[in-house]
Amino acid sequence: MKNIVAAMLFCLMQMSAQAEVFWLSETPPSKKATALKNEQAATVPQADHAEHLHAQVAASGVAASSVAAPAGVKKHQHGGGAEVDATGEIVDNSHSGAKRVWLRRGNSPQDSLYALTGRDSETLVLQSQEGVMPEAAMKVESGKLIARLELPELGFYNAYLKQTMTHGDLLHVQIAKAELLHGTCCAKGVDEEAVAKPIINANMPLELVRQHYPKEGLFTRIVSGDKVDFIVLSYGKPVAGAKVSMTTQQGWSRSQVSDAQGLVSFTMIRDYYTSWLEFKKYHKQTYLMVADLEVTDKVTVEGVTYNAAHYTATLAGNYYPSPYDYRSYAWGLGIALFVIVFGGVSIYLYRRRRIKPYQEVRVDAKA
Amino acid sequence: MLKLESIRTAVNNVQFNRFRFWLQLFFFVLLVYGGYLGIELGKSLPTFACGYNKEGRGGMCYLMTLQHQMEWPWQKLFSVAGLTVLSTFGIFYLWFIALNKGWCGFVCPVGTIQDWITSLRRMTGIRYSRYSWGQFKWLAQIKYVLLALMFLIPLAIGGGWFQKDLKSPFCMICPGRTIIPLFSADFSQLSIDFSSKTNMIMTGLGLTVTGLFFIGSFVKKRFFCFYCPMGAFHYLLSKIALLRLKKDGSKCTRCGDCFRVCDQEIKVIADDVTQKEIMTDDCIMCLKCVAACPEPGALKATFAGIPIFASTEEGFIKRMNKGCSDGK
Repeated sequence: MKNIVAAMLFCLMQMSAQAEVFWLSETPPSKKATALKNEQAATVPQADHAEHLHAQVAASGVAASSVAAPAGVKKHQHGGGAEVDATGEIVDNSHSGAKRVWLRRGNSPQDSLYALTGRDSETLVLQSQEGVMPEAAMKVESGKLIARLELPELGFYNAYLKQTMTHGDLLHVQIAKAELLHGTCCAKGVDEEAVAKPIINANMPLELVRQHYPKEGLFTRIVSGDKVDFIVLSYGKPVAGAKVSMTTQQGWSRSQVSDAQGLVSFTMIRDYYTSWLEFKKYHKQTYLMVADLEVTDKVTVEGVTYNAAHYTATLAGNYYPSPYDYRSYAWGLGIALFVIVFGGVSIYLYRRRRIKPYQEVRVDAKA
Repeated sequence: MLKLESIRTAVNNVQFNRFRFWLQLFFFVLLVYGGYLGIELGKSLPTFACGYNKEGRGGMCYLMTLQHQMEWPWQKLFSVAGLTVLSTFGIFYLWFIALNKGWCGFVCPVGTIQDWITSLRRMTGIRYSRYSWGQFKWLAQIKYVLLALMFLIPLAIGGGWFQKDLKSPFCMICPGRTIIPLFSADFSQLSIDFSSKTNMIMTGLGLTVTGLFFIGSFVKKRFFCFYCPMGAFHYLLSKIALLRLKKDGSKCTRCGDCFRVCDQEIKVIADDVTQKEIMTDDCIMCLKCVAACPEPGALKATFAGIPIFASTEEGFIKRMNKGCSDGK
């Protein structure tokens, strides 16, 4: 009987996990939506039997200086409102070193709410190419949980928020991850290939890692039509059989199961359709990746043994319209060739008209 | 002392066109492919080392950096951050004063491409064109208009008056943007960007100028240099540059050889026998006039006041004989 109840609870947990996941987002809430969503501010469902462990991920003995630096953020970015340009488009600062990361709940990038966990602050684990960095705090601001980060060097950084819940002898772990980029178009004296590699955290029970492009640098954008590969890892090792789903900004969703190398591949679909006058080529959209892994064997965490465990890992990223949507080589070459041919013919005719035909004048000496 | 004199004689007698060809080729490889060799000369070069040539460039054209900086919001531009603009300009100026407009005549990759197109025309036997004096005076103003727009449009973007689509306006119409990346097998700049009306117009204009560049350079020597805002910018700053072009009017016979070889059709070089500083805003300091001058010491190039290349009778005859033998 006890096992049946446990199984039912486990199923319920799975269902809730599928329905709503937590993820880390770099997209600021729009000012228009802020008022509405403040009223609906989401909070972690505090299951009656759930016990928040707030497991602290093993932190290394790195220097104690905090990377959280609110002073680095521009004044007009406070309050969580999206910074917009003159045309009303959200300013894309995805390459800036000053980052803001929000916790969100839901499985669609467009509809997910800016979430709270029921605590005043949470701890983000940060990792750079060099290893684990000092942890950063996520604090409640304007009804949203936000972390303000200052990424010191150019390159990629990972931020993790790990939530552990227990339901009797069942373990549910959610790992929300954000891959942050401090990039530049014009790196000088930087080995871009070295600092643009994906980062893996071998302490995470489940992690989604985006495979970077072969020539990915510090200003590379994912665009519609690209094939993007992800690897599912558990404690740094590939996991087969994990269910991985991708949801795009407009809600298109597809699922795959990881193969023996932990690999899943998705093609970024084109889902930005607007009138030509409103089209923005730097229109940033978010995709959300969710990986679920069930472990039916016994799992021991911090000396406590659980009958089964369910792990959920999330990773959000950005993609943009493809240049093929708005660039035309045919027109470009056509215009250049037309000018060359038209100009060449015009010059030829102009020169021909100026040639004065030879006119022999015969003088009759006898006359 | 004798050795110095012999070096000076050797320099003055040099087969100038050949020397210039190899020097131009060296700078072309340096600026267009230098990136592959790990060379990075910074973002303040006073020549068209195009920033759109992402992988191959060995440095970056200052006009691109300048326009980017001018686009900053005014609050940032006129704050402490504005010192960055001054420091970048300082580096540009240090580069510039070394060679003056010699950057155009010897270093500029876009200028070198034009010289190659001229060589192609010469091989076909098609004659070149010249502007009439009236056309010359009128068209010579265009580079100043472009220079002014290159400052004003980015400033207006920073002030929120124009959309960001209009950013780097001169780069969008510069033939360097469309042509130089081709040497690194990057064809992306040959397309029309239909993402907005502004982008469509600017990229369309850019490819129109590219077409004009090819056809213009084929029939007119250094066609684009006549309209180049970098040349105008150089001239405004050239008063204290180290490399200078000087003329001794008392030795000039006004034979007109210098005018005839001038790619830029600068009449003053032959007509003016009063000014010592003979460089004009259209001059690209290619020094072909010095090489073509038969009068000893009438024209010379100096570096920090020291003559480095002067016209001599001997050099003139040697170059003419070489030219005659080349023509056989």
